[in-house]
Amino acid sequence: MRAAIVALALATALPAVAQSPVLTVKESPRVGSFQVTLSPFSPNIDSEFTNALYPPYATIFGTGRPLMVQGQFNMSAWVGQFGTLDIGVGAGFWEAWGEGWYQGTDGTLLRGGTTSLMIIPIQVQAGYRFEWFYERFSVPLEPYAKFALVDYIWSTSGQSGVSSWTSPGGVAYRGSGATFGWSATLGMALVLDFFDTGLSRQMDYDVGINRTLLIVDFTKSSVNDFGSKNSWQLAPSYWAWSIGLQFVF
Amino acid sequence: MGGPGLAESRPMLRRATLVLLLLPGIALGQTATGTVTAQVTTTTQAAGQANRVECASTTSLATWNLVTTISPVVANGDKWRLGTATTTNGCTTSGGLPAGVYQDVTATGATQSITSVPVNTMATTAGVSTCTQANDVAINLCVYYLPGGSTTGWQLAAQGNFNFQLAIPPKPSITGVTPGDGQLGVNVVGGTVTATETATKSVTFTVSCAGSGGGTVSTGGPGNAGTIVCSGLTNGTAYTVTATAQSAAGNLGPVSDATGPNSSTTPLPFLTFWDVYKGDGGVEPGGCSTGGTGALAPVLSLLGFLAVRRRRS
Repeated sequence: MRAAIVALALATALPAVAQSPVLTVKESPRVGSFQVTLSPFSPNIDSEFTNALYPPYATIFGTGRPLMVQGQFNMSAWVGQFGTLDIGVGAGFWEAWGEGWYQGTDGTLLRGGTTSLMIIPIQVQAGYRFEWFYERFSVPLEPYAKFALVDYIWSTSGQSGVSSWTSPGGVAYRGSGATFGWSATLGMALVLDFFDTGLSRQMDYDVGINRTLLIVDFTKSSVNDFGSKNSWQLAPSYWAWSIGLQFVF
Repeated sequence: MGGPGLAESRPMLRRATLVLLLLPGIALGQTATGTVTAQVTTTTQAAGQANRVECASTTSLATWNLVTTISPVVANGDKWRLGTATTTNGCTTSGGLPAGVYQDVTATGATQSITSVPVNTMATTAGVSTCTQANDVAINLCVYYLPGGSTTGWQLAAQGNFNFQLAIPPKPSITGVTPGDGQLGVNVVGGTVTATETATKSVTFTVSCAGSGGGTVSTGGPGNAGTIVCSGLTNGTAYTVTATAQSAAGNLGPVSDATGPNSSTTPLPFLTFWDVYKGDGGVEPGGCSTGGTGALAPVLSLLGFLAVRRRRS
């Protein structure tokens, strides 16, 4: 009787094991990550015009914060007992549209027409993700910190392509360029694998994604050629929050 | 019953029919399988149609491209005759040979291109009464085969269609003009069809901006209804703006009522964000960063390279 029960148990268990080979496979080694984030963004260009009645950025583009989309790709430089040190590169896109001015024949100004400011941020970054809570206690939270050197490639345009302004002295200034700076980020990642470990392992088995993280962070940055007196400030004046997904592979 | 019966006479009838079939030109009223298309050579518009100007012009010419199953013999003096017909009557297949729209052409092959066919004659021989009528007139193109150049033993070798696009579009309206930097955005809407202005399909619009001080008139378009831009204008000069619609074949309709000259038809210098920023005394000069920070670009590249290289090793 006892042998029959064991045999029955084996007979029912074996097909289940055969259908779920993934559960028996160890997690693949982690070598890097990539992420996509969205962040409301507004450069602090008007910091040059603190006493102006009509500061140029707010006058043209308003006080809204168009979304900046960014992607990052990291390679894990060091995977330790408490977390992972990542080094990588990133790029993004942001653009604001506003209403320009028409200069009347009598010198009056009339609102109208469309003008824009476009920024392509690129960066190299190093970050540390503290994974100990999840690894040791299965608490699905991973705090992280990052530091990045950034280069904002920017361009302003109007009705005839890239803008150009000529000074009263006859010097032409083209409205495009690149401005360097830095950024520091503090964030918290929610480990989504915690909520469905089976699906998580299946994803690792199928495409090599070890971990999926919902990330929320705050970034303080300065993009003014490291304090150059001949540069505007393209970073926000505030700690900019962003939200996104990170995939560890 | 005396005399040969119907059954006895059939072999003779068959033989006679066979002879008639083998000798093209003898069998009056036969129609060969073939097509002909015509392209007016004085314009770039689509093949198979002519507009009012081409219809009325005595110098406008067309090229007929002929494809037929008949293989003519040059040595025999075989010829093609080009003709037209109303779509109601169609091409003639029997009886008297219709008059041609052009001189009879020596037939050199089953596929042949015939140039310099007068368009106006194509219209008149097809019964197009006037080239300024309100509606389009479709006609048939007919190519007759004349074996040995004979006008008695002929047959229809190919036929096709051609459209005299004679309708004109109604007078458009200008609903607004927006000044820009050296340009005017003109908002145009199509007019209402009348008894004499009936074209509505594939109608396009052009706008004309004439400076109050004379000089060159700038045009914008052709484009669909909506905003059409007059560019290359002088800031500060007031312009008179008009719009015209044209049919797919290029027939121009009446000119719209004029707008301006006034402040809304005067192009003005446009100040972009960069103009406002620099005009307010902004310090950013544009271009790549100056000073030592410009060296950051290679540093960033090096860091990225090292990160990748470390992983590979």
